[in-house]
Amino acid sequence: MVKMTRRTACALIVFLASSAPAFGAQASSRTSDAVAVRDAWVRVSTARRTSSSGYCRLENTTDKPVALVKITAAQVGTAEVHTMTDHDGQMSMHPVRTVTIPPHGAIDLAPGGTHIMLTDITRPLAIGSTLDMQFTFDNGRTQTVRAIVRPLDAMSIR
Amino acid sequence: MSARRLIAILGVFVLCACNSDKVQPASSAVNEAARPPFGGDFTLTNQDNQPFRLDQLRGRPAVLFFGYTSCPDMCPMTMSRIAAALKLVGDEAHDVTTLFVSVDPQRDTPAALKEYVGSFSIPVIGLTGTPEEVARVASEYHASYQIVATGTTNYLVNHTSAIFLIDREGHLRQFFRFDEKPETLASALRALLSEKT
Repeated sequence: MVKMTRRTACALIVFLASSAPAFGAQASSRTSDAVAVRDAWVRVSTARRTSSSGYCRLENTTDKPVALVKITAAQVGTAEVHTMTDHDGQMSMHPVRTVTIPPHGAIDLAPGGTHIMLTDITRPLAIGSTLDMQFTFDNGRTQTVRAIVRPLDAMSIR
Repeated sequence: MSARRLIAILGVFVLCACNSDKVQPASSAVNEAARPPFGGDFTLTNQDNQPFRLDQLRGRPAVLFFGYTSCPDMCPMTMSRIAAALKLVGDEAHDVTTLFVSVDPQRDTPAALKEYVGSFSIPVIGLTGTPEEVARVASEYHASYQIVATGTTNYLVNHTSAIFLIDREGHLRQFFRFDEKPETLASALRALLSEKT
């Protein structure tokens, strides 16, 4: 049997904490990635209402810009970043091709602004469950982001 | 250009002109003289597939919003803000009726609306109708909407985002941006509630 020293145990805890998928409001992706994705949540969907929206905070931990270029999720037909524009009081949504996070900066995908739009969801998202999404960045990295499912009228992850 | 299209455009113009941010200062009482010169009674179908007439609410103020149940972001956010405002109003908020008029009558059947309005923390009456009925009500409130064709049934609907406040006599009194602060909405609702019929 391997005898574990205190230092080894600490190192193991740090490794596990940084490599395991994060849960709840603490973090939603590995902190070792160039972009830390935090507080990811989506709205509930049903068998009848098969669209939803997703939100999170994207933090670039590097000294170069990083762009989010693609989002996918199992049992979600399309996941796109959308932004809203106001045309004389009429709101419309448009897809955004990339979301660039400045060096050591952060971007919030938040209600009423730029957000993730999920359509053609084949498995209803139940309140309290989670949805794993794959975020691909222009540095070639793909991260799994675990979002918690919140009520329809929620405004934040808490 | 059809007359209906022209009316809709003029409506949006008026709405925009009146509502650069909000019609009334947040802290002021509702000004009868400044009330918007549109709005009015209507009849639609509620989530229980029963006829609903606005004049059924006489004596009680109402909050009205045009949206659709597949709206992923703005509509849930707006309903959340309305709920937050009503919570700030307190016990008197029980006297306020929240109306959600669908601008997507093709998908928003009474059954779809029933599921949707039941998802919120406040009582909401969901309303739909034939495309013509919905268009008539939207026109009365100078609201506009437009389906964004995608070739599938999973389309978006661009729509007027205002939150309309209706007084105890059924008159449209104010409208606000969808992202108005709940505190501002609550202040306006308290003013309407303080009025006697």
